[in-house]
Amino acid sequence: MIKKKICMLGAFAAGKTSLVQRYITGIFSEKYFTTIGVKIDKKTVIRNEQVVELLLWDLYGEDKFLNVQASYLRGSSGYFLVIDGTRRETLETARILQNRAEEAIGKKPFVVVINKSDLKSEWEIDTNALDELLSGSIAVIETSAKTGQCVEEIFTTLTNKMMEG
Amino acid sequence: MPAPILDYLHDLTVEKCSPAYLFVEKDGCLIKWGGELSGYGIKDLSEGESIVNTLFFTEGLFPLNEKSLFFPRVKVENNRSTDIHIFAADEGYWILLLDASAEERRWTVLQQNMNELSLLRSNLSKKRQLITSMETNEVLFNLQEKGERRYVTVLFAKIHGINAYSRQAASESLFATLEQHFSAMARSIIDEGGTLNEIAGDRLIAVFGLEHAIESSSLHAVQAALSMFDDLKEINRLNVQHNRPEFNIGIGITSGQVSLGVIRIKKQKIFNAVGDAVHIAARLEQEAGPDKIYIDRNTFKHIKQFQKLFSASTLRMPSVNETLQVFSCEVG
Repeated sequence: MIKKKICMLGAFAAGKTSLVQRYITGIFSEKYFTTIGVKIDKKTVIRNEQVVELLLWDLYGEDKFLNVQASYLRGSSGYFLVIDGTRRETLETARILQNRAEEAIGKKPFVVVINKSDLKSEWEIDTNALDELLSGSIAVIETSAKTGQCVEEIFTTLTNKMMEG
Repeated sequence: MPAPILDYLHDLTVEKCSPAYLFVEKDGCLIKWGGELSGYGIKDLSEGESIVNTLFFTEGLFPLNEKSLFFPRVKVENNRSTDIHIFAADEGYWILLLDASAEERRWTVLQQNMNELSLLRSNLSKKRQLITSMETNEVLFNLQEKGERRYVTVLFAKIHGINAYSRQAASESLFATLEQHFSAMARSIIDEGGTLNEIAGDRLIAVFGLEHAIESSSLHAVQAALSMFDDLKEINRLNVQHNRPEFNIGIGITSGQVSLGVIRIKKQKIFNAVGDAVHIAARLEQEAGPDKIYIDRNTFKHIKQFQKLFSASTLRMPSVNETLQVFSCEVG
């Protein structure tokens, strides 16, 4: 069986755990619980008649006092940069994490995920500000872990790209 | 070391973390194992099988490029938080598993509170920024229709080096830099109950005392200034890491009576503050230069806990025909 390791990267409370839980269990919780360290889940999918096991590393959120440790990224085939659409500062965090990921594991496919599309009226992210990240990413996708919008799509997009490589 | 001490240390550091180990060849094939593996949900092991089948999360790790790898607080299917150490030996790799549940519980309380506080602060600052940009300043500050005089503290801050940077940097980088710095500075102002009055070029003007008791406005302004320098250190550290330039700030602060009011230009209403305190704060900021805070006597009087950071001097002010006593603090 083919196995692919994927890391969820982003600022704290951007919705990384909610996206993984929505993808794996279909459940969304309104209550915010911070992730400590890393929680690893797996999900088996079929791509081009091949069975692929996705190993999802849901890392704790980056903040100014706690940087994400590069060792967690070792062996990743791809990653998500999760941005909270309602918090502009999470975009800068995503930029920092993208640089750190590239230093640690080299150029790997990544998808920029702008989460919380159910709160679009409160968004502070201007898509023009994404240019720098857009240039390196395979896609920028707006999601809502709450409604499930495009959650399946982000995993499908990244998996397809990883399977090409 | 006496045996009782060694025994105690052994209990403290080894027994409480339920160690378990596996040893694999360079290609990841399992050779031997031991310790409390069942506590980590690991069972039915066979010599020679691939470690990836046993510990699925080791996918892609072997062979190691480095002598050791450490994965703190990893949670897998059995939901037990585990510190995982992997280190090289001559014939293969040791994988050491240690229980990190107690450590995780401590971190959870701390991190959850920190993150919730950060989110609360972010929400609060958004609401306040929204109010001040909704042309309702006179309602917010309870200002009289025709303006009024109030005792406030005025803060001028300048980001040094921006002009020179603007000559060689792409406008996108320039404005990203300004946004990065002014956002952090505005956060310090809002946290201390101040109001961001204006941003012009590389300068920022804030007023304290519009909403809270006048006697504490000096203290809040100085605390905001010191917080700006703390944030600047972090910003510069990150920028150096990413080969971006470092900048310094200089700050001038005064307290006194000023005229406050709202100027109406067509449908727009713009908050304005006028008076010697404003004028002198601007002058002190110019005098301060990079990495310094200059404050006037009125401000100094109300910051007892910070007075030891400042040293006194005088400053000639031709525009008001006075020599002022000022206090400076080197922060860099």
